[in-house]
Amino acid sequence: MKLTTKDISIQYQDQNSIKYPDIELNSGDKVLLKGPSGCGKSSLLYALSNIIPVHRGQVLLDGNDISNLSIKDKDSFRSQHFGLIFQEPRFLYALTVYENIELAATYQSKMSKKEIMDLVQSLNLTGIAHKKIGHISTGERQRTAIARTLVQRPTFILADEPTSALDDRHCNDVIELLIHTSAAINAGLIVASHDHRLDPYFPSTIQLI
Amino acid sequence: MKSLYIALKNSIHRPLGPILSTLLIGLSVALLVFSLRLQNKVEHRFSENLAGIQMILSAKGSPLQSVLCNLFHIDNPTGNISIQDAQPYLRPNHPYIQTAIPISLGDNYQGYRIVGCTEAFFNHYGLNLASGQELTENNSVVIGSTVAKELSLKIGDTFHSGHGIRDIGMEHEDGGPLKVVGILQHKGNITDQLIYTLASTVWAQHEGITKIDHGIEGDSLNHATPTIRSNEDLLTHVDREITAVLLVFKGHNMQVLNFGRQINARTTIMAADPAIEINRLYLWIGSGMDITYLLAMAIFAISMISIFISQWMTIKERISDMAIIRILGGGRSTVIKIILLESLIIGGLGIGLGYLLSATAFMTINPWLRDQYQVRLPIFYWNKEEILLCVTILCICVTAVLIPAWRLYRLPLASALETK
Repeated sequence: MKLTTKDISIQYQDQNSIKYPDIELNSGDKVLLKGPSGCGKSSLLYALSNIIPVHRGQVLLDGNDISNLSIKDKDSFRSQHFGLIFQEPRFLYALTVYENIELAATYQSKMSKKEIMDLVQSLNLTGIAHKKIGHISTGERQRTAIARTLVQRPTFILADEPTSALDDRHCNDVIELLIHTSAAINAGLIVASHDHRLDPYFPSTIQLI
Repeated sequence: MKSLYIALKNSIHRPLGPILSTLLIGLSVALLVFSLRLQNKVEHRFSENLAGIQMILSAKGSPLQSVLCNLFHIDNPTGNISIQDAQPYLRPNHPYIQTAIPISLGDNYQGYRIVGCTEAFFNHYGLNLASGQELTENNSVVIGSTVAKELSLKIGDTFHSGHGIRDIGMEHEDGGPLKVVGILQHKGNITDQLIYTLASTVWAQHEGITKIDHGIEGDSLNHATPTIRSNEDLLTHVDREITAVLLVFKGHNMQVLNFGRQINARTTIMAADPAIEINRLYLWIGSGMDITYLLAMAIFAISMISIFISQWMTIKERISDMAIIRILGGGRSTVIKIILLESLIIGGLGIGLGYLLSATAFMTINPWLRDQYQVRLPIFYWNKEEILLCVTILCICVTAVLIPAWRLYRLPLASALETK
C-alpha cells in the first residue's frame, strides 16, 4: 500500500499553520522525520493517522482520501492501517503486560493467542508478561508498546520520539527492534525524532524546519 | 478481551472508591429490603388475619392491645370477661350478630399460643384437618401446621401447657398433659401457628387446684370438667370466664355502628373495632418506615455521589484509557461501555451485599420476632417490588456516571493524547 500526502498543512488553535513537504511511502519503507522540537513532527504523524484533520491538502492511502470518514470509521481505519508508538507509551494500567499486548487483538483479531505468546517470547517479554505496567522499566514499556503495535499488524508504524527517554543501549535495542519487526511484517515505518543516534539506521530522512 | 473483564480489572486496580460505594449501596439496600419486607409482612399479616372480624369484645383496657392479642395473637390479653356479661352476644339469633366466636387465652406451649375455643372458631376460619380428628374431649388439642412442623409434633404426642402467652418455663403440671388429636391443613395465616383446644380445657388447666379438691389426678381430670364444644354449651356456664368474643355482623347499618359505642358506654366489657385500631397502628408503623426509607435513600444518595466523584477523580486516567482503546480500534463506545459496566458492577455487588446483610439480619431477629409476635420475615424472597428496587438502583448507578462518560465520549482523540 502507498501512503502519500499532497500539499498538506495543519492549523493550530492559535491560527498558526505549518506546511509540510509531500511524502510518498510504501509499505516496507522506512523513513526518519527529523527536526527540532516544535517543528510539527508529532502533528504530521497525527495528520497521517487521521487523529487531527489537515487544514489544506490531502492524505491518500492507495490514492483514496481518508480525511472524510466519520469518527467511528476513522477509528476503525486507523487501527487497521496505523500502529502508533509514543515517546511515553500509554497503557491500561489495570492490565498486565500480556493483557495490554493482547488488547490490540481484541479489536483487530489479526493474531491468535499462540501467535501473541510467540511474539511476547521473541521480544523477551515472557519474564514480565504477568507484571503490571507500573512495575516495569521504561525500556520494557517501550518494548511492550512495540509488541502491542505488532499485534495490530498495521500497514504503517508511526513512532513519535520512541528513543528520547532511553540510554544508548536501550535506544539501540528499541530502534533495531522497530526496524526488524516492521520489516518482518512488511510495514512502512515512519519515526519522528530529533535524536541523532537514529540517523545511521535510516537511509531516507525528511527534514522539517 | 471483553469490556466486562477490563471493567472488573479497573475496579480491582482502584479498589478504594468501588469498595466504599459498594458498602454504601449495600447498607442502603439492606435497609430498604428490611423495611419493605417488614412492611409487607405486617400489612399482609394484618389483612389476612382480619378474617372478616368486625368487633372484639374483651375486658376493658387498650382497644389496640385487645385487637393485637385476640385477633393477631401478638400482645397480652386485657383480662377476662365473664360469660354472664358476654352471653347477650353469644346467643344465636342476635339481631345484628351473624357469628360470635368466643376464645380463651392464657397458655402456651414452647411459645405457641393455646386457644380455647368452640366449633364456631373452626367454622369461621374454615379450618380443616389434615390428619387426626376433631376436638371432642378435654385435654385434647388440634395443632396448626406450623406448630406441627416446628415442634415436630404428631398425633398422639402429649405435652404440658405453659402458663402465660409466652414461654416462661411455668408448666401446668396439675392440669394434666395435653394430647395432640389432630393436625390442621396449612392456611398460610396465623391459624397455622396456634394450638386449639376446647374452652373447657383452658379452664381445667387453670383450675388444676380443683382436681386436688376432688381427689382427681392426672389424665382423669377431663372427666371432672364439663366438655364445652359449642357456644350453646358455653352459655350453660355463666359463672366461668373467657378472654374475648370475636364478632361478625349481619350488615353495616347505623345500629351496628352504634353497637360498639353502646357496649363501651353501658357495660363492663370493651368493644374494639379492628379496622380502626389497625389503621392507627399503620400510622405509627408508617412513620417509623418513613424514617427508615429516608435514611436508606440518604445513604444511597451518598453512594451515588461517591461513584460520581470516584469516576470524576480518575477522569485523566480514563482519558488515557480511551486514547489507547481508540487507537487500537475499540471506538468511543467501548470506553463508555467500560465505565458503565464498572458502575453496574458496583451496583450489582452493592445489591448482593445488601441482600446478604438483610438475610443475616433476618436470620438474627427471626427467632425473637417469632417468640414475640409470631412473625417470621422471609429470608429467601423475591417480589416485583424488590425487582423494581434493584433495577432502579442499577439505573441510578448508570446515571451517576453519565456526565463523566459523556465528557469522555465528546473528547477528541488528539486532546486525549495530549493529556498526560
